[in-house]
Amino acid sequence: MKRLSLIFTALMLVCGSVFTSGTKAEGEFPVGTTVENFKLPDTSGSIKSFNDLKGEKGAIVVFLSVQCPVVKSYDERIVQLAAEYGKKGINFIGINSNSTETTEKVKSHAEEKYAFPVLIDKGNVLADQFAANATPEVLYFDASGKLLYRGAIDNSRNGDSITATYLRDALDAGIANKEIKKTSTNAVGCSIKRLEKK
Amino acid sequence: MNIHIFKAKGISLLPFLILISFLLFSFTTEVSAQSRKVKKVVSKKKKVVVKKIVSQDLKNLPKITQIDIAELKNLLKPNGKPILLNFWATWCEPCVKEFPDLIKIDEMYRGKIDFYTISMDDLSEIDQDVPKFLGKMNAKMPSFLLKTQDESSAVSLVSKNWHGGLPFTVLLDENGIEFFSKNGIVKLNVLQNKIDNLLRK
Repeated sequence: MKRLSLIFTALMLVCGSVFTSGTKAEGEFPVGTTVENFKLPDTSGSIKSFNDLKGEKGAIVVFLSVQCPVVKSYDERIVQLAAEYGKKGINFIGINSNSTETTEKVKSHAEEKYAFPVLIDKGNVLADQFAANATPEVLYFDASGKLLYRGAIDNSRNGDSITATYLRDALDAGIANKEIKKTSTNAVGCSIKRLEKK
Repeated sequence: MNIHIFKAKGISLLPFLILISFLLFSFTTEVSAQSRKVKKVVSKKKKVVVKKIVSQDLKNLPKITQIDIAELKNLLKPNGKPILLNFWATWCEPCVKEFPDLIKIDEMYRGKIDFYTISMDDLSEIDQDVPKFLGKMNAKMPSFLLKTQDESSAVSLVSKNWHGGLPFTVLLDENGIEFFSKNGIVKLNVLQNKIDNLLRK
């Protein structure tokens, strides 16, 4: 009986989560929302949790892609920011939610490019939960898991004419416990290749 | 034994053989030189043809108009007809993939709706990859390239349903109110249905 009720509860939970993610409107993870600890496999298949990966001052969740030219263009800046703010207690966590990119490709790409872990979001569950849209799109959480900033890294895709460093400004203000002036922007990039809903 | 052949009837055949092989050699080299000449002429002709096509193409390439946020705002104001906007970029694989369907939509609804495409490519592509691609597609709709320091605001201006992922397609009614929008590839029959529904209203 116990086992049956357990199975039933699990089923209800699964149905519940499918239902909520299916009905959730896009852009429905606003700044101020606190993230619940999530777990996803890394590129080697071992399960990692947000709470284990975040730094003492918080974390940047960055949605990535192997193929997206915009991500390629931002890679150097992402690597630089991860190294710089890693020292200040902010850890980067890469997420790949693209149904079109294989784990092998994501793994070799991550090993070649990034010093931080890249987690595989099969079925774009996390992308749906965070209402993530494009790559590269970043979400900055403080140590308690509260979302402080979401959107673009800066305002220049090719890096030639950066006049607004959105993420860096948010991080500097957040670390200094100051008010973040711009808490959300739209990130123009490659749309996340979600699994087609039937 | 072999020596006997060369010394048939007491006359040595060796000088004849040398003469024949010399004649044969000079003949073949002449032929190959001639064929080289022919090839040269052909390749010259080919070059001319290629050049002609390129110059013709460049002349016929669609003109892309650069716009900023204010001009984008104006574009969103209808002129008595519904507006269809497609935001795309040459670097965006799904955008390129869906483009042939957008050409069909343009052909089907020309005169009934105002259809514009807006490229989010780098400004440097305004006379390069953007017109080349649109030319290849034989695109006839007015085409623009958005250049602004504040793309984020431009994205918000277009639709509350858009957050920057490409491609993005939005259909506005004749009052400029959003009737339909799609993040990612839009299916031809879906877009067709939406436009038909809007025109029937």
